[in-house]
Amino acid sequence: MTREVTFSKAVNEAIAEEMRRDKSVFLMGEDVAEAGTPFKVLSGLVEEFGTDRVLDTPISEPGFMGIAIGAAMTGSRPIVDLMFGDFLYLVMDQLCNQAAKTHYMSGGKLNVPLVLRTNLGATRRSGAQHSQSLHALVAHIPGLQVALPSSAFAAKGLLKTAVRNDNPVVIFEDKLMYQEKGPVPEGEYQIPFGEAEILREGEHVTLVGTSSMVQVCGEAAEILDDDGISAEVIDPRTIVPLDEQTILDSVKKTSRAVVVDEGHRNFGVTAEIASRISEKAFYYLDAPVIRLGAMDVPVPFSPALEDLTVPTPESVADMARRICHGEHVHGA
Amino acid sequence: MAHEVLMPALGMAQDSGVIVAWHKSVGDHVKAGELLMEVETDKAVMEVEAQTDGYLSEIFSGEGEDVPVGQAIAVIALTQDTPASGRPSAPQPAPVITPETGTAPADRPATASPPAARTEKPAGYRILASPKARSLAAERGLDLSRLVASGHPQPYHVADLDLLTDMEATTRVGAATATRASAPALALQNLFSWLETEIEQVPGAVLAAFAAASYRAAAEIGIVTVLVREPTRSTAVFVDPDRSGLAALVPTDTSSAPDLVLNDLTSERGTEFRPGEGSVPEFSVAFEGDRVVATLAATTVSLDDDQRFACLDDFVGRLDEPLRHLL
Amino acid sequence: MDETLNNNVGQFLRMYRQMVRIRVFEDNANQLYLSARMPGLTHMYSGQEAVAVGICEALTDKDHVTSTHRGHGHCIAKGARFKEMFCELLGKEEGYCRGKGGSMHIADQANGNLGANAIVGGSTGIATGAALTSKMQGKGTVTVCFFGDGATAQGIWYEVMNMAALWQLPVIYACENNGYSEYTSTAEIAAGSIIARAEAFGIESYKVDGQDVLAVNRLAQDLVTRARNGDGPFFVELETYRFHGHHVGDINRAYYRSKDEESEWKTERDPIANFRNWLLTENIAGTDELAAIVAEVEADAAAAVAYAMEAKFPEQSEVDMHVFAGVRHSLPYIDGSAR
Repeated sequence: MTREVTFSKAVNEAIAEEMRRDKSVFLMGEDVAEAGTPFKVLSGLVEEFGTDRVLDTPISEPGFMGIAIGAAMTGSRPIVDLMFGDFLYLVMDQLCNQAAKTHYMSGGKLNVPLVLRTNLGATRRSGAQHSQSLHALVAHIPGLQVALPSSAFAAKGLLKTAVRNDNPVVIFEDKLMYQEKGPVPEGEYQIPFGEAEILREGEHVTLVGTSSMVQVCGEAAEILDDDGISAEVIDPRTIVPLDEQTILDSVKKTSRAVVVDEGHRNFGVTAEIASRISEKAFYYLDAPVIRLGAMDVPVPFSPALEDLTVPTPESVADMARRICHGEHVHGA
Repeated sequence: MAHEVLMPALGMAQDSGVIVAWHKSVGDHVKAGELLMEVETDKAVMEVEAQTDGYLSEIFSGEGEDVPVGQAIAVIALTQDTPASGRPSAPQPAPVITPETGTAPADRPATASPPAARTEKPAGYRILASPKARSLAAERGLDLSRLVASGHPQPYHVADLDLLTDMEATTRVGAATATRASAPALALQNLFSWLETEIEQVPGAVLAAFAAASYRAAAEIGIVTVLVREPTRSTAVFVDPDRSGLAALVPTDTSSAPDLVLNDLTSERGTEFRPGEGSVPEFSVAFEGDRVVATLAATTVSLDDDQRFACLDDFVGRLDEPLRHLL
Repeated sequence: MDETLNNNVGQFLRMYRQMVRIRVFEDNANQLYLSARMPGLTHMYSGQEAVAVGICEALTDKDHVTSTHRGHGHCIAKGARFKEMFCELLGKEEGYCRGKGGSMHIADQANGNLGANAIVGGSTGIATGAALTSKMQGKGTVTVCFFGDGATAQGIWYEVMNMAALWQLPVIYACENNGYSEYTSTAEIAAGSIIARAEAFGIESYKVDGQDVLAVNRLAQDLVTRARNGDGPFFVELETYRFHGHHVGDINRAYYRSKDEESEWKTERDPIANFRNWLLTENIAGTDELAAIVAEVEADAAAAVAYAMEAKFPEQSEVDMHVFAGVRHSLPYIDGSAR
């Protein structure tokens, strides 16, 4: 039985179900209890689980991140709420020097089973410090796994998988998507990490989109349809691990790829995926692999400027169309 | 085994040829059909292709040298390190073919045309093609440099291989060879002005008439259908345009395949010739400075070397003195 | 010898042995470094033995500690064996961390050591989190967070002390003030009072002579018991001294620390020598007995070093193992080719 629920509700359900299932799971972060976070994603959880398992913290991101790691190393399974993805910079030492390396540095004897939930996405008119998409930063660090749900269904399924993973997992939710509804089954389900989803099959070009850009790629594919260009849309769902094979198989079929991600383009997720395509499907490529990401500027406040910084269905369709027509793009 | 490259007899009453340019250097790999050099005869500059694959191991005659027909001017070796043969072989008696239609006016100045666009390959030249196009071409034995030679714009993608496949199919019955020649443009330009203002006739119609006449003479053919292409107009087909009066020259609505293609590029100054790769002979006409330049691309199936040369010679003669031929 | 002392002879001798073990281990590690048989470098704990031993003797195997880059002492005091430790120092497969940690991350995890941390102050959150688990799950365990005076300059410590105090966590912050923050006198980097910083959060705080193992142990026994009963957190500043430089290669250090000062601490305030004198004075042990302990420890260390020198390095295939729990090799896993 599948209902339509919001992305936000899907996250909430995943946490509630996991906390009911496993007493070692608890929630911590700023304003996670009665406030239920500014996005109201966690509303109602403190009523069910109490303040013993839904811990409001001071505004001390490095501190509660460190505490979560220690708790995870000693038998708890914390879910940490980092209010904005932009605050990742505050927790980088704990996340990258501690959580990511503990299992390795201990020769496999210590585990850090924690989930760090945070968000990404611009165009909320929130300015440069509340609009970033910083998942590439985390994906760069060995020892961390990174999930990027693009729908209510994925949000719930990936989060449940993350909670049961014995490693630190960072989940980035698209904060613009919280109120969007999507089909979510009633019963128990998980989405395995490292399995991409093919949202739409196509022949002429592969559009690889992550998180917020999955919808954008879907809409771009509709636009391309009108031009007689058939686009395949792939959502990797996790970037660490990355389901390379599904992407490569698609590109080998279509010979063209546009990779779209809301992180900055420079040295980002799109660069990684594009380079893997270039390395591993080189002789199948009939056009340069195109990367589309957030413009390499701090996210501006003014709507007139902010909207320029993020890939749109039109910009994705335009690049796809150009490579399908054999245009000499970027002087390649 | 090494292959000697001889100064070719280019179909005219010709004792020798002047080497205008080498397009390969000693040590370069060459493929049969690849442009090797340009030779100027008393009539025109001809492009000479290599006859065999290998490495250009020696060049005996440099640019500017006048070399007797039949004399060895270079050696193509099978391998890169084949020792030089040392000395050119003596001129061999070569069959010098005098064209049957060799009636070109003796007073017409010899034309030494600049090299065509396709000869302007810089050193270290690399074909721009997608990895997939490249690997498919290799798999199917297609030569991407033929697309370059045809003037087809780079970079190449898989879709361009269809064209290349057609070209290769043509090659199997004889590759198109382009020959070019030029004449002073003034008379023709005056004629065009007159046509436009006095009888509202398009230049392409007149050029089609000239091409049909030249082709008819060279190929001894009954009815000549000419397809005229002009960048700013739609294509037009003329049947026996050389047999109509100038004012009565009108396109025909026919579905029959053309015997000739005429590319009228006279409205675009400086347009580069892009010899076609179709199976029928293809004339192209353009103005370059104060000269009119004509190219004739044809496979040996439709016109052999002698016929092609004679045909172009006749055509350029008409361009040089259009009124004389019209009257 | 009074009755109290008599009842605790075993404990005293054990503390003496543990301090000797640390000193002997460090002397051997120093020799390995100086003779270029040890990769990398290491930070000597010599001089601070009474801190680690005094505190860890108050803990059970289930209790946790977090350690620092100067962590061999904590590791030994928490019950680690020489063989696995020297193997770890030399990057061998049988090391506690299979050679993946080295000196700065050495830990006997089975005895509750949550790891030595090479980020100054980096473990303060981990220790507090371990205490949080203990409280949430009613485990009754206590966590001791070892850190140096240098870490008191890190912001995270204040954040976690705040939360530990708010949530009354069973954690003891043990600040080993050895007078130097790397190559800089603590007086130059710490304004005001260190103990007052913890007190500002309402945390019960103590200052103790870190060279007096009995004083340290007495305080630790008391605080551990109280923390176990839910009275935590606590803060203790232990006044101590590192006999070597910041690390083994820090030889010429007169620019920040005088030889007279070092000499005074080594002769007047050596925690082992002083405790030995006390054991002799109180007739708890004789010189022969104590000498035998030293000899045993030295023989144990020599054997462990010899073993570790011959032990095998990890297989090359181990390089991408232990990146993720539950994933044998991480490289194919992250490319999605492992599924």
